[in-house]
Amino acid sequence: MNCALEVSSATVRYGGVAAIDDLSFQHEDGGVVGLIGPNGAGKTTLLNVLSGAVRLTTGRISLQGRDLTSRKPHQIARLGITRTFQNLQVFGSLSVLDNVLLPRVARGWATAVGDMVLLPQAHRKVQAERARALDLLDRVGIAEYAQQPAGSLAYGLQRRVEIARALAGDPELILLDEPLAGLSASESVDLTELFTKVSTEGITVLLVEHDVASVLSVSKRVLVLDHGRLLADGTPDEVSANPEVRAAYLGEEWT
Amino acid sequence: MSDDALAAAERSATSVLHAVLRSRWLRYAIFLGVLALVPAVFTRVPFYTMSVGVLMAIQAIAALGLIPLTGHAGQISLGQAAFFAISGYTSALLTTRWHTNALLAMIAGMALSAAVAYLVGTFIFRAQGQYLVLATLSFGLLVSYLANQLPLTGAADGIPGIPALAPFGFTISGDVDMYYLVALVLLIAVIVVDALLRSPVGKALTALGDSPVATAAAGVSIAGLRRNAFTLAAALSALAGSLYAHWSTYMDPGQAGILSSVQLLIIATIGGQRLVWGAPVGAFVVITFSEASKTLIPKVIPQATGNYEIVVYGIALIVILLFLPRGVGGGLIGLAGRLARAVRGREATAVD
Ligand SMILES: Nc1ncnc2c1ncn2[C@@H]1O[C@H](COP(=O)(O)OP(=O)(O)O)[C@@H](O)[C@H]1O
Ligand SMILES: [Mg+2]
Repeated sequence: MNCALEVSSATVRYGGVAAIDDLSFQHEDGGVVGLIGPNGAGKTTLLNVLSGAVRLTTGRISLQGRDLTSRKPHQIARLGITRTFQNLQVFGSLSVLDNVLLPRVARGWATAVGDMVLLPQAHRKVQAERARALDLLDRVGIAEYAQQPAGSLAYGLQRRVEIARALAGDPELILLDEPLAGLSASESVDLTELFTKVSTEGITVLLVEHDVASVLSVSKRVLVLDHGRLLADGTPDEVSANPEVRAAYLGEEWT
Repeated sequence: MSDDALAAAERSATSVLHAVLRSRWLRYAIFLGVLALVPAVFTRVPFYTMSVGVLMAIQAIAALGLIPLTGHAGQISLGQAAFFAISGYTSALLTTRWHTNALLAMIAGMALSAAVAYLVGTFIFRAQGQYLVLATLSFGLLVSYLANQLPLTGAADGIPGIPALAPFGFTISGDVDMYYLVALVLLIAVIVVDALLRSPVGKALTALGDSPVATAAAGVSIAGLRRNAFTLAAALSALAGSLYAHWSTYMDPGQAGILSSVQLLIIATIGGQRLVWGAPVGAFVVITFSEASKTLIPKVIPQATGNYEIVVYGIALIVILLFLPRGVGGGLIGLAGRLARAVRGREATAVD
């Protein structure tokens, strides 16, 4: 099942500046969607809007026809949009495993309480969640750090914690804000492979990335933002052939 | 020979240290032991009296809720004394005017405080960031003002003649009786809050303190979580407030003052905000300082008035936090961990 995301005339203004400006697009057929654009183009702001962290000044967003425009971040997360953060936001004093368990616990406080008062059924459910969380850690390659405080991990590993945590929320749409920043080439390859695999399991991946080559290689559709507006929208080939896109990226890396 | 004996003693000391760091039931048992020793010690040492012991236990209960609220969720509250007072005054009014059973009055006081905290929390935690501290401060000032002005609470005179607690028909008369009661309540409260911190709810509170945005993105209502932690802290402070009212037999508006809220924050900070032990350790250290300054300052500076105490608090806080940024409790835990590691390291090199 693919998610149907609809953004209509979305605008976010900070003082006089429009971080995103009358932006409209739809996406229905899953896969990895790349979102690129120069620094300050509004990519993070769009992700903040989609995850409820920032309210739209005007416009609407919806997922599967359900209006998300004025919903709180935790409601949006439960409705199927989870995310990672460009500036790392792991729970540094919790173990890596607890980081990944939190989205599960948040969906079933009753189970957690039932486990505390030793209800066998709740206990089995909690055990199943732990096993699932460990599987997820294994998938992103950090199972061996499960019991360590997430804050003690290296930068690249903390990025993986965030990805596992976002996947743990059972999203229909996952928003990744520069997940490859600061990673080595081989780590980047690992993770882009993971994004492709995740997308084949029916989770739509919205990938914001500075490394344009990586985005073009994994995305089926690429959106290019510039000054808060959609500069281009199409397949990787169409977008990389677009002269306006090349002009916007002038002086920045473009392969 | 003596080297061997020393090494053996060191080894057994380290294994005890490891056991204490590992088993929480052992920690509770040690705490129980310390609480049980207090009467024997406090009746023999200068300026410690049983009344000081009762005060320490009551303040520890009142500060305990700040461990999850401030130490984990990262929310500073200047409203703790307000909940202490709401419950204390409720106990006072119900027992002196309507002759309600003291235990029932206490439960009513806690329920009222918790309900007020829930409502206030629902209202203020819609806001974000530093305004929240100001909101708790405004609430504290409001309750303090009302306690000073309302005819119902006896205004500046307060309410005297509050009857003592009489659980199971056994009247708590002296400070020693009262000490055993509040120490038992403190022990139970510490175990309950410790269990909460270990639970998924506690993990969510820690997450909230680490990153509010990521906690929300994980599907947790951060306003709801803050409100619930605020309500729990209020309920514990309320429990302490009612215990205080029935012990001192007198509620006065000073109990609702902002300085009392600040003192509770100081207790949690000095003791260490991350672990439940911060509340009792902080209460011991801070009240020792305040009692010592009450006895010593008049001797050193004969014209001194009560305000000097605040200066002493301030200096003590700064000095302790300079040397122990995680508070006395956090410092002790860190020291124990370092000791254990150092000894283990030496054993490892000895084997090599
Ligand atoms: N909280 C904020 N307050 C004011 N301006 C902001 C804020 N967040 C982003 N902006 C501005 O909005 C524009 C878009 O920023 P952002 O979405 O972070 O861009 P990108 O992620 O594409 O680099 C920038 O000009 C930035 O300065
Ligand atoms: Mg950005």
